[in-house]
Amino acid sequence: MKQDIRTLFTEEDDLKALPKNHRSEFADKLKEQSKPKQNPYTWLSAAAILIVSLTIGFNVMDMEAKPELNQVSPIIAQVEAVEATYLKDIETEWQSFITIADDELLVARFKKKLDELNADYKEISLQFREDSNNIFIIEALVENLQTRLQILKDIQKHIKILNQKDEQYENTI
Amino acid sequence: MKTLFKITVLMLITSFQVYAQTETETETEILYSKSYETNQSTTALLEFRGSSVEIYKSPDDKFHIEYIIEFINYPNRKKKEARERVNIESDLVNNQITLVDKSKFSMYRFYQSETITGTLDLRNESEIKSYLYKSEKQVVNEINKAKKPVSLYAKYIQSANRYSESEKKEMIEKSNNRKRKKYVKRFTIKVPSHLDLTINSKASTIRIQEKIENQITLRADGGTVYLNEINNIRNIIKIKDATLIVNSINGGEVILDNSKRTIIGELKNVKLNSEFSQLEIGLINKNVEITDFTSKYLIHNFSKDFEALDMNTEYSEVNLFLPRNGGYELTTFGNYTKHFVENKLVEVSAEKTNGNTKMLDLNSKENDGKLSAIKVNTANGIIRISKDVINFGE
Repeated sequence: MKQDIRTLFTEEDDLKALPKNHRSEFADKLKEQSKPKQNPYTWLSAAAILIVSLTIGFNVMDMEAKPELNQVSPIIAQVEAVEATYLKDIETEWQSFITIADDELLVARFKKKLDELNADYKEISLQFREDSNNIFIIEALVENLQTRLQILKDIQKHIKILNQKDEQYENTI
Repeated sequence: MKTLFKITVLMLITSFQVYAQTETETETEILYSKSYETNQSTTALLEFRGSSVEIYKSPDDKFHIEYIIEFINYPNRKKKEARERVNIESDLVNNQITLVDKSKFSMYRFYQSETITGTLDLRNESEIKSYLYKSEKQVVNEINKAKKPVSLYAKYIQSANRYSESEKKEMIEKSNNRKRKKYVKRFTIKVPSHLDLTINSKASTIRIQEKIENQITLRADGGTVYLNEINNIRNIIKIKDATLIVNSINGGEVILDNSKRTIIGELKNVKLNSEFSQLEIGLINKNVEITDFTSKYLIHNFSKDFEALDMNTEYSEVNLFLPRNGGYELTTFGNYTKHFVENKLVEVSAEKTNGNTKMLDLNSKENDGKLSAIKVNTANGIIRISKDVINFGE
């Protein structure tokens, strides 16, 4: 079975002739393979972005709709801070008032009024504990404190004007 | 492509939000409606707490009650809860109609930090330096302006002194353009003209929109009372820690305790008792008597034939503009009171305590023979009298 293998190659060449455009076909196939593959997860990631966005949006809206969860504490703290400041100011003004007022009936009447306002305040404070987001209750609390402070300031101003008259009157005599 | 898609999604989300902010959805529901037959002796007792009430004349002899809830951009899932908080009871027993608002004290939620801060900032009120004379018409215009509903946010921003006027305007406009989720509840009550009305309210807004002749006994503790013209000699209006804005009161008694703001267009045939209050009165007509402790009064006008104004005051500040129509005689009696006439101190001889001497006597120059009398009994008071401007130079 000895044979010259060179003759075999000669026969192969005769059987399979290369097409004329084999070069360009090869180049086209090569080009096609070099294109990036289409990612099958593109739409999935888009949907995920949409879901995450909607979830965040919904949660933010829901948190807004439940202010008690994230608002109660700051409001209570704020009101307590304001209350402490007012009470300190009220005490200062009261001491100043009893120093300059020489009318015992006036002092007694103001004491009665301040006690009434204090009793009202305690009642409103109980409501505030139950419903700390109610602006009308907060308003009532602050107005109560303001009233106490303001009536003390007003009466002292009034007495000062009256006393100025006294000094002026005495000077003219 | 991927980036383009992301941008599109973001634009879509943003546009939804912008759309949601600009569109206002309002839905009104009648939650309670009832009518009662009445006769000449029927009375009504109404009790409110944290309520908003509008009262009108009835078109017939029936007493009508209607309670509505108005949802503004309010989420559907929460409407049921809002409805459930409403609890109204009414009945007619022994010819007396009773109406009680037992609803939970539930004004719409409120968590605008700036508004809270505004509420807490109210004490920074600017000090008034002078009062300018106002005609009767100007006072009525102010009353009508004060009656217009203002949002709480606007009210607090307006009263906060830490903002400039332009900042306030900008903040209020921004707030008005913002979408709010809220609900508003309101009574509309229609009352026959013969029915006697007793109203007890706490932290409520009561509006009587029309001129009425009914006998009214009103006790308002906190809140605001807006009245038009009320005419009845048996009226009793008690205002405590509340605001009173009224066009005209003819007849009856008015009692004010710590009313920081009372504006009355006209007073006639009224006994007014006040303490710790601030009042502005447009016109004093016939038969008015005032008793006061530590309030501030500002009186602009007197009717031509007011005949007499009697004031009994202690530690009060009385600011009044002289009558422009007809002759008058203004006299002050008492002790230890400082008088300013046309913004100048007038020295009067007065005892420091317990005296009741005549201190000041002013007469109109145009004397047509008939003088109306302004008589002020005062102890430890400040009285300022002027024609056009009252300055506080003291």
